[in-house]
Amino acid sequence: MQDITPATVKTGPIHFLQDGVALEVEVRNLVKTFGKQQAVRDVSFTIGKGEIFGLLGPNGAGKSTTINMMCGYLEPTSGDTQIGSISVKKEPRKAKRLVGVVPQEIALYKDLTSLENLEFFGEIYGLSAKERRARAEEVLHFVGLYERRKEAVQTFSGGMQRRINMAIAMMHQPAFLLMDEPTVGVDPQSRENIFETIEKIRDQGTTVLYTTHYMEEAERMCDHIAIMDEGRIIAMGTLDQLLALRDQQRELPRPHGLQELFIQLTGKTLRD
Amino acid sequence: MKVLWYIAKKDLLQVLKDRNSFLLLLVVPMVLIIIIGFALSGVNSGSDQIAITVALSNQDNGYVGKNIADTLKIDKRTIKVTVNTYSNEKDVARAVQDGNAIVGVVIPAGTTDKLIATAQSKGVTSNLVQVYALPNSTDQRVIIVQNLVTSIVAGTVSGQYVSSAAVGQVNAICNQPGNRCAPQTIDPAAIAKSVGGAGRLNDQSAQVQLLTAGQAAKTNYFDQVVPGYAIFFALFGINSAAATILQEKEDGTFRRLLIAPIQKYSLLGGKMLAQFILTLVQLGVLFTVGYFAFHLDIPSWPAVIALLVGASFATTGIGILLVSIVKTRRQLNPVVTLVTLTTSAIGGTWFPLFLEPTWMQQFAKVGMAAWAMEGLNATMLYGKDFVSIIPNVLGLLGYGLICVLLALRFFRFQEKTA
Repeated sequence: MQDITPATVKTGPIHFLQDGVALEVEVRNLVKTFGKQQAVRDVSFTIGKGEIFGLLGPNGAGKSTTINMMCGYLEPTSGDTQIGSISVKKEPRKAKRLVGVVPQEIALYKDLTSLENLEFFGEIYGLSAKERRARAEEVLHFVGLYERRKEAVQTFSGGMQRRINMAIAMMHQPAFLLMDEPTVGVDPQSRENIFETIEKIRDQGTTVLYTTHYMEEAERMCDHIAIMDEGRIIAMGTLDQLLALRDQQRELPRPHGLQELFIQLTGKTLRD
Repeated sequence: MKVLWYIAKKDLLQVLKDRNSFLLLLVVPMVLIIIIGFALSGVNSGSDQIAITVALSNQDNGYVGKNIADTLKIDKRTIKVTVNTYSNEKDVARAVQDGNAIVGVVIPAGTTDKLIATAQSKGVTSNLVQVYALPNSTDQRVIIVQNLVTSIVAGTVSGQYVSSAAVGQVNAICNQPGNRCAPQTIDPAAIAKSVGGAGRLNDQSAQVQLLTAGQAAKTNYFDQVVPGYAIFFALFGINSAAATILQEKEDGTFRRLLIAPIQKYSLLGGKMLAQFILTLVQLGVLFTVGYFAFHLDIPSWPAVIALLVGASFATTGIGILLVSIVKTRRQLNPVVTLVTLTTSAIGGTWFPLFLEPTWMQQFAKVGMAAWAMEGLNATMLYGKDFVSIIPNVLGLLGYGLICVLLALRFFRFQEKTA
């Protein structure tokens, strides 16, 4: 089944921020312990207004746990996240209205149509009937699936389902978008499509946190990158800063880029 | 509250899109009700009357035989006795043997004379009338006829003895010195007949009273089958209530909803609301079809509706409780099967509750089926009113509430993993 690329369909303007205000996000000393296991250890970073911040690390590094705490799904053992001026710990419901989460798994009601999925989540986020309908059409145009809005999601390809997965997160026009490895299991064409979508989102002023274990994605997409391993941030900065750090520590030739930096810092590859 | 309804609406929409759900909800129970109902409808005639065919041979020329023959011709709302007469005992026995009559009654020749003679000699009568039935018959109608005949005969006999005594008293007075009674002004037979007749009338009405007094069960077997299997299939609804939540957890949509700015308990509430509505609709449709298609007797619609609402709430509560205990759908299926089959079996959904020993009827109340069936039997079989079934409605609501409270205590919104 061939995906319809955005270039071939009308996308129209897509409005991501309710008041057009970009927000800074600050993560302060987040810790999460499950029993005796410390999954996240004192993680802190700041995401600038309207930028894409990459959280890079292998499986089990603590990226998803960090995201879960930032969006209010998990209560931190200690620490907090500030979205603009709102504390996730103190005002969770208020904070949740500002956050859109694109989960790693495709979390859709597959027996419902894409329009029904969007309208349901629009209801959950408090949009009126008129707003829901208008917004759903807008978002469907944006992800290039308007023509298939009345088809059950289970008939969609993996790439198309991922686009609807993203569309749901955008329904309530969040100021802060959390994307947890959104390109897992996606074909190259769909992946490129997703990258373009995220860049458009960023260009509209939405603050984005993007987690991945693909170096090339982080290198392409992110304004700032934090490398995470075993629950800690082991390096953080712009791509240039991190590559410079790699050059400083270079002892072995090849491989290059962030992969090499990661190996230098941890002694293993990102896919270990 | 709005979020509750949005979540319930979404669940109901998913059910509407799933044709297999409808099959399980409505078609399968209806098919089973039809099969079981018609299979067992021969247990009773399916009409409002108990119908009995009696083979009678009255060889007596006196009033005893006539009394019995006349009394057996009963045609009332609750009971109709059809009497086929035969000339001799052998034909009566054959009629019973061949199944042309449920019971046979033989009144031998000279029964009345024998009774009068015995009464006058103040002796004891026995075996005045013979009643025939198939060996080891457990047909209640045989007992009914036997009781009827026995009471008629008993009344007639006592009447005869009383009248004989009365005649004796009159003669004694007539024979006292100074008294004289005109001859043939005292007719012992007429006196005996009148007294015996009066006794017969009393006994007949008493006999009829015996049949109609108290809690006589209705004879339309669908009055048991429809409620029974409706409740049985409603219990399977606990599987769908629990399965939808587990499915959402597996699919990740549950987490997505918890990330949304909603109260987490409204998630469970919405799921419960959807399941409650589905179960109530299922029960409502089955009872409505039963009412129009199978002529269910529903003396009190408010009572039945209240019981169905209570039953829907109780099954919903059980479903939510189960999902707070089991972790996967694979664990869920055997638990649901166990709970549904055991509580249905002892709860009176497959056969009337009153057939069970009393202790088991009480024990069965660990399951919601017994509460529901006790109430439905009370109103549909015994004609009890709304007030009488209030304890059952409260029991069902309480049952559901306990399940919900326990579920809220044990339900895990997030798994304890990294």
